[in-house]
Amino acid sequence: MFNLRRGLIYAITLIIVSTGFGLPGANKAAGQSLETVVHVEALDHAFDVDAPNELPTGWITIVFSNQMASFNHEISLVQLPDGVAHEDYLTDYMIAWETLLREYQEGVVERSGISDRVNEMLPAWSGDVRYVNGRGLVSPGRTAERTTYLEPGKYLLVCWMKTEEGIIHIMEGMHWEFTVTEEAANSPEPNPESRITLHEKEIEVKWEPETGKHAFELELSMNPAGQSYHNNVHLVRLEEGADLDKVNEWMDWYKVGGLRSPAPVEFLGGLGYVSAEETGYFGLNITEPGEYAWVVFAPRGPGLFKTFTID
Amino acid sequence: MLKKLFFVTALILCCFAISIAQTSVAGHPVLENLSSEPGIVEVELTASQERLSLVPGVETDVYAYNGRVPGPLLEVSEGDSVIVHFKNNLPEKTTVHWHGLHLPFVMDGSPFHPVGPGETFTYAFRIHEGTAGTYWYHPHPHHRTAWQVGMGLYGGIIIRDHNDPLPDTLTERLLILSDNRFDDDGQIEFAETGSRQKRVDDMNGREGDVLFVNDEIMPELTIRSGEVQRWRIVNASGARIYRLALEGHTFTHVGSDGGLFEHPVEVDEIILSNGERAELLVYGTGEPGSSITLRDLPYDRYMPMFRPSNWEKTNDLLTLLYTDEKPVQEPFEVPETLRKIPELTLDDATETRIMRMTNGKINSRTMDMNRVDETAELGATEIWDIRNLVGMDHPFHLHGFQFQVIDRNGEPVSQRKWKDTVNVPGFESARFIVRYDNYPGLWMFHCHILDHEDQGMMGVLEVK
Repeated sequence: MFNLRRGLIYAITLIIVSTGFGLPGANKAAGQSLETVVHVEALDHAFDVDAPNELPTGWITIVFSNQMASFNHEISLVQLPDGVAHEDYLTDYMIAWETLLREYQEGVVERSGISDRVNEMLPAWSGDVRYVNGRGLVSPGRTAERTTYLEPGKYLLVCWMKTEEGIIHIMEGMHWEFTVTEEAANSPEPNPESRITLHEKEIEVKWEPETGKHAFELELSMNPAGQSYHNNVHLVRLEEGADLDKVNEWMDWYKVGGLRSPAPVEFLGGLGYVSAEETGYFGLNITEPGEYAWVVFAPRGPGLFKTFTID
Repeated sequence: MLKKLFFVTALILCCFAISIAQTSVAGHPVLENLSSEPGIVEVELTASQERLSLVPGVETDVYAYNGRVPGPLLEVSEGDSVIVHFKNNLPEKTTVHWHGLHLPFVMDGSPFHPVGPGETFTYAFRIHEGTAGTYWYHPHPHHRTAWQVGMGLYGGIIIRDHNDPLPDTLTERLLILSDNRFDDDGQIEFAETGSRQKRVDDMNGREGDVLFVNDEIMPELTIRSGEVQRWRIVNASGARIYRLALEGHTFTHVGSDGGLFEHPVEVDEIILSNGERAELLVYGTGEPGSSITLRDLPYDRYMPMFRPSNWEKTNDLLTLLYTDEKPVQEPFEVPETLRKIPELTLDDATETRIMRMTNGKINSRTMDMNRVDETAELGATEIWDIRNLVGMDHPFHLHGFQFQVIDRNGEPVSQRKWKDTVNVPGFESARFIVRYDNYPGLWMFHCHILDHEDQGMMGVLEVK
């Protein structure tokens, strides 16, 4: 279990550090039945979800709109182990992380000691918590989507970002619990034309940049050991003088100012997920011409960037 | 000369005795009416720093109205004109908010009309017909309400109906519920900025471990076997929500914020959130010489991560002692219809306003005194859709206008009631209908967990 927990810590660290976004093929979403599309409005700090707390199993699209909030938000999609209640995640699990964050930010815990310290506090089942896919940062005024295959089970939508005071949004109330039932959703797997592949040192994008709604499939290249080099990609809009290295630094959740509002750039969406065996689908909307960049957050080094212009 | 002195003294004592007899209503001292004019209630109210014994044997620095915690009762009748000469002797600005009353904007005691230290203000308003009920007054300065109420500034209001359907022979009690926290020196304790307790208080609202009914801890009240008493209850706590039950007894719930219901309801317990009031009939069904306890049962109003470890504890509030007198034989039957409440109809509603409540914010905004959040026409009827998007209760309060709750989570409510505060549990919703009669102005709406209100979980409705 200890190793499992270490694995979990690593996975969470990746999620936290990464900024994957997902959005399903927008063209596919139009053909899906209503109950398989979940509209989520972000507020400071809660989700206003226009869906029942029970969803069918299958391909589910989450449309994440940040039109009412003042800060950046994200959705991490969490599946709980059997026998673990939603409340267990919010109490035992989250209190451990909140405590760790506070201690780390106060200098009580060094970065090298994070894993040991949080392992002391996390419940035994925490190693079985599954992050189906991770954060997709969405700035105020933006809307993004992702489509995910959901197996039956208990889930939460949570936001791991931090307030200006350094408090995890989940602890402020930004969580929503739901159950995926055995009832099958008759929604097809997305099949977007555009594809992003994350290589070791390159973001490969098969896509024609232009304004409008776009849907992507995210593919991860593997190293010889079968592990993905990267696990997240984000689209950001660049203002003059934007420093992408600082964006990568800001996306480090463990840094005191990491993932705290305000963000150094505007985020339009993206996808981050842990499992390399699964395909990620996400969508986003580019509403105006300008300078943009695909950003892959890398926790231990410079991130990958690919800039482009939309006229 | 001596005879004359004796006569004057006797007269004074007699008047004093009459005065004493007249100045206690429902167990509370009453603000003295300085006016001899019929229909005029003119009183003096002063907020000041005092040193009182809240906990027996301990002197505590408090804020008090007219030297008391709670402040004296304001007793008026429908149709009265009320004049309150208020003096602020506190070292900080304050206001007096007349919670639940329908009155002009400038008289509401909202954050828009602070009264500075050493200043005076005269509140003048009319008591409207149909508003008989139980209300309360408390300060409402921006960012300082939780502090000032916590320091002791709150008091009760009873508005009487000249044609009250309940007989005045019923023993009447006003129970103002509050809680507080004290340090080792007996001083009122507020969490230090930056402390873990401050974080908890910011989230849950500040709760105290010492529970008061009026100015006492676990007071003893009496009832005669077979007697029926009329209890008016105010939740003046900054954050604690009460789940009230009287062991072995039921209540007849006859009224709430805006007065009597149309029909009485038998209940085993009631939940009273911050700022809410209830009117109950308590039936003395026990044996002479026995006693029972009014209890505050566990009520989970918290987000899971901030739920106190002792939340499941039952708190005793007061002891009700049955006298040794032989039981009252005359049965009392509460009328099936207490009054007719005018219906606000959905067809008349011209707007639906959605209020999304998160912790500390409404619709992702914090209070800005220079911003109007909602605008409505005087006389308009509207629906408010209050959605609580987080996992703890938020009691929503609208100033100036009583409303009628239509439904909760889409389910229609059982009967029409006048309300000014509606509690919305975590991840639930409630809709109410309201008509903006008589008074234009800038009206506050907010969470009545006072810490949340102070954090800015509040907005401004302009009626014009």
